[in-house]
Amino acid sequence: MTEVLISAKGLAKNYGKKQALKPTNLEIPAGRIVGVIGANGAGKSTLLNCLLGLSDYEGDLQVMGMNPLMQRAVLMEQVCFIADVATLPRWAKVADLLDWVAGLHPKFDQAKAIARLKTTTVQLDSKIKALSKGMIVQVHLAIALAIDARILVLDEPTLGLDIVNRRGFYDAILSDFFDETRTVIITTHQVDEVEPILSHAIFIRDGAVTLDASMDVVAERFLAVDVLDNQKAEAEALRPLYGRSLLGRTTFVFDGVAPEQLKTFGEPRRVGLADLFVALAQ
Amino acid sequence: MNKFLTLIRRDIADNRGALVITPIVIAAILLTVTLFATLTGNARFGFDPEDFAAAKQNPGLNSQVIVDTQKGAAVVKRGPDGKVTIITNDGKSKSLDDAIDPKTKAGLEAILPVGTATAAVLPLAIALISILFVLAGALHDERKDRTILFWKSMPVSDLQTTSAKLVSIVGVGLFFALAVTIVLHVAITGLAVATLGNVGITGISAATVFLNATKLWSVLAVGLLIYVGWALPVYGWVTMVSAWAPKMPFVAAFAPLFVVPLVYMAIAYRGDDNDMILNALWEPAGRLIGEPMTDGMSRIVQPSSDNLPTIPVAEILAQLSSSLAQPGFWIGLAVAGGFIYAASEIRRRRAL
Repeated sequence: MTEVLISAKGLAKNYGKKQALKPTNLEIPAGRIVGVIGANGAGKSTLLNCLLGLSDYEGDLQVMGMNPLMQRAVLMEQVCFIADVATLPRWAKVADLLDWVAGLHPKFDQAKAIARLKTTTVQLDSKIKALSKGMIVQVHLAIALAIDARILVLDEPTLGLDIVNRRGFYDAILSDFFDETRTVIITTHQVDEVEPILSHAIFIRDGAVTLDASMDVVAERFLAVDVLDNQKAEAEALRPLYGRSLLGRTTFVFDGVAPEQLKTFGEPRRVGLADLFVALAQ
Repeated sequence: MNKFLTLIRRDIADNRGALVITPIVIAAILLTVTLFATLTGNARFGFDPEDFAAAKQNPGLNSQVIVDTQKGAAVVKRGPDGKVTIITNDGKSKSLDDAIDPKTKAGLEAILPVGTATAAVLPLAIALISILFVLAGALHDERKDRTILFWKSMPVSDLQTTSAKLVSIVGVGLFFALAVTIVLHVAITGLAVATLGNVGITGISAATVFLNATKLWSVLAVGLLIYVGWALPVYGWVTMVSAWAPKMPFVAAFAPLFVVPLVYMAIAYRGDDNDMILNALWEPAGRLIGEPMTDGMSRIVQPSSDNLPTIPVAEILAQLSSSLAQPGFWIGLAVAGGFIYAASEIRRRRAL
């Protein structure tokens, strides 16, 4: 049986009267790459902050069997976290930063981080504030990948990066970090770029989880089909989640409708996460 | 322990400008000014750049000043060899060295390092103020620049982080400033001793002067340690406010310490110096200026049994240490512990 790394029951977070995360149940086993997808302010970062013990919460939450809020210091030996590029101390030199991480993190391999940075244009004696966004991500990535962690959490890690750096970032995660015993959790707006590497998707809308499913389940459960105008009424009778009319035909997204039923309108196909997110947001 | 030392190294690097560079720059400025004044002939009881320029062009020129004494006016001349001669109004002339009796010279050996210390202590005095600003920003700035998200991804507890900030800013900050002060004191005192010799005063023992300086340093070091103990609840309070304040943490931390007693004075104070509420309200400010530990303190320089000025180190240290017997000291430490714990809990429960 696959080990469950993250388990939440009734996990919720309020900021004053605003409920940023509504009571949520989650189970995330090892060996998954989970995409947490939602609009700005939907509650993605709130969920991650709770999982990482970065803020208090209500409900029952276990990450690797620990209470993240009360045992964050121990938990962070197993969890690695990259927020957006602006979180590294701008006043620090790269070499000093690596020294400090080596002094603070028992599972950090400084030599590995330096070796990785030597393959980039980042100079060890540079200050973080002198680096470009892409270089800062390289530094953060070098640190994260040199930590022997079980869970890697990425919160909008490629925000503001160009496409080359974004692709390189995810390639590095896949080749240098991920294996069957580890889990990666990613929040991002660039859904199309991470979709090919995800094994699981969680949609959040207005603080509530609207979808929590593996990509296999998503592929089986949600299908899209293009319907001609003369068949629209028949298709609408199957209660599609979403319909979008374009150039004389309407694309409908269905939830839990058998492919055989849909074949009467056209060839059913997988729904991309971006389209599914829009569909579920209706 | 390794983690704690790493945190301290990090915090010193973070606040290098305020904790390390500022005391060094202040000391360098003071030393430069002192050196300049000394080299330009300040030892002749005044500084006049025109005289100096003239003296450089005419090495034989005698510059002179008139001083008023209780016995009447006297002319003080400095010869080209640097030696000072005093001519009283009755026409008698004697060297400055002759004018100072051996007992006064012995007194100078005690007073001189105290005098130079009043100038050399400036880096420490400024550090005592600047650390309050640094401390107020310690836990606030990491939220403001979002670096808290990176530091919280390290396996370090909030209590360790908070304590390390306090130790690095207060402990390292103040004691580094003390070290700079001592180095500056050595330099200025050395210049002063050299100047005395230059104006012709003999019989001043540099060894005795520096021995007295060493006594001052021990008083200063022990006094600083005890001061930190007294001020710790205020430092703890500032750290807690830094963890909580959404903005302007310095104002948020210090406004209550000064505004509340002032408001109380405006509303309820009736001129009673023993008003317990008012005294309690002013206590944090009193702790910051070292009031509880200096209450009833004797002077640094006191006459000995043979009426020579001396620095009674043991007596001063005993007086400073006696303040540790006050319950307020230990209650303050417990309160400081509470504030530091509260600061760490606030940090634990908020991401930004």
